[in-house]
Amino acid sequence: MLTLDESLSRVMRIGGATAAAFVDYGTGAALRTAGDAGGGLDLAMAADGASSVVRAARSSLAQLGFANGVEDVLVTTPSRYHLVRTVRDGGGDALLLFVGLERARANLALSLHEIARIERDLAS
Amino acid sequence: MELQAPRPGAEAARARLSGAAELLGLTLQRCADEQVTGAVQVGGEPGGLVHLADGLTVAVETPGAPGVEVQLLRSGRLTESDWSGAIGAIAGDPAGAIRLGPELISRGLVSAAELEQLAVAAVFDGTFAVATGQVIDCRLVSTDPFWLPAVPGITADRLWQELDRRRHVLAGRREPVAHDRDRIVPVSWLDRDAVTLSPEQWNLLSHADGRRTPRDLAFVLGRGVYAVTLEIARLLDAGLVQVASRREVPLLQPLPSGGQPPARRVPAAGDAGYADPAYPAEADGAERRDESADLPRRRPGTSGAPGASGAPGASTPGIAGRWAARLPHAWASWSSNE
Repeated sequence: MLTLDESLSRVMRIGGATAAAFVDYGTGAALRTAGDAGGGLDLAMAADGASSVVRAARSSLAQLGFANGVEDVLVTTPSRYHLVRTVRDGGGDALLLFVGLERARANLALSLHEIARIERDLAS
Repeated sequence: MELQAPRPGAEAARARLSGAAELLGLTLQRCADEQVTGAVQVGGEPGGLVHLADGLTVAVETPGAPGVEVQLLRSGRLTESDWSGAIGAIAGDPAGAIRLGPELISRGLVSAAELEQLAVAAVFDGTFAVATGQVIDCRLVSTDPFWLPAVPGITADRLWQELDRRRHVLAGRREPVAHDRDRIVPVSWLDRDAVTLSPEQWNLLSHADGRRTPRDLAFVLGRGVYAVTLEIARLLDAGLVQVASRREVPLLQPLPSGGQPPARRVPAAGDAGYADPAYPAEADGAERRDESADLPRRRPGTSGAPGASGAPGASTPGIAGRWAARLPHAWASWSSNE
């Protein structure tokens, strides 16, 4: 059983990871954060954005008639990946994990695999 | 012994409430600098008790926001028998309070991640409820360790950053909503083809009865006050709900000095804290209930009646600055009592 901070330390060891945060979906609050030093990324703002992006995805899917929850959302820019995972789907009180990765150094498939493992350890 | 704000002039007081909240901010910053372990008792409406460990905020006990245990029970994550079982297992243990979280986890009732999420979110939410209400004074008191704390706690900087973000988000909404005053009701007629609602929106709509404020709804549903307020603001924007009426919150005067911190209660399922806040006294007649909905409720028990002490009514500009200036002096009194 991991604490949120321990999980973030493991996320930060993933190649290319520069910032990570656990986000309370209902409030958009960054509950625990790691990294971002030097990257210039405001994690409080990123957390709010992560929550909004998942809300938009959920809303679109609901309008399309898809009942299943959003597992993750990936926002890619020329230099970075911004990954938002639904760690615990508690409806309005879901727990999200935001991870910022440098594209030049990150392997997206491997990163997703490792994040899934960390989530399993967090839930067990 | 305490920080006491001059009694605010009634008409201008609301405009100065943000200044009052800064008193709490300054106090918590000071506690962080000196790595205080204990609690800051905040007098006001709703007021509350901010629990600190080594200067970090680990819990906020306030009648203005549902605590972790209320959220666990009202949201249906835990049944009352789950809860009483865990409470029973730690009863009589002097270190019981800090063992409650591990006990709930080891019984498989809640995961460690979920409990940590709830505890940290409740710290932010309790701070939001206390700081956006009326803050009259702050005093340092010693308390026992709190149930289900956030471990590690939240720094004063981060707490205030988050509070500012929340105030900013709510102030920027097209339809502003007062979480402790606006009684919400669904609109009675919808002029459109179809509506898509999330489950949490449905739950809000089905409990918004024109008597409950967002804060009341948060208690009923076992969710955070800010989360509910934000969702209500979205529903207002979407034209699905409206403000039925506005609860008047009486302005408070400073509390009598020398008050004791509220007595620690063992949170038990079915106690008064779980009553539906919009319906405080089921035994009372309908007229009485209407009246009582306008009174401040669930104030920590032992602080004494508001308005019992008559502080000078002088109110001048720059009030927040004056409180700030008084802080170091008051702090010295606290420290000498330690």
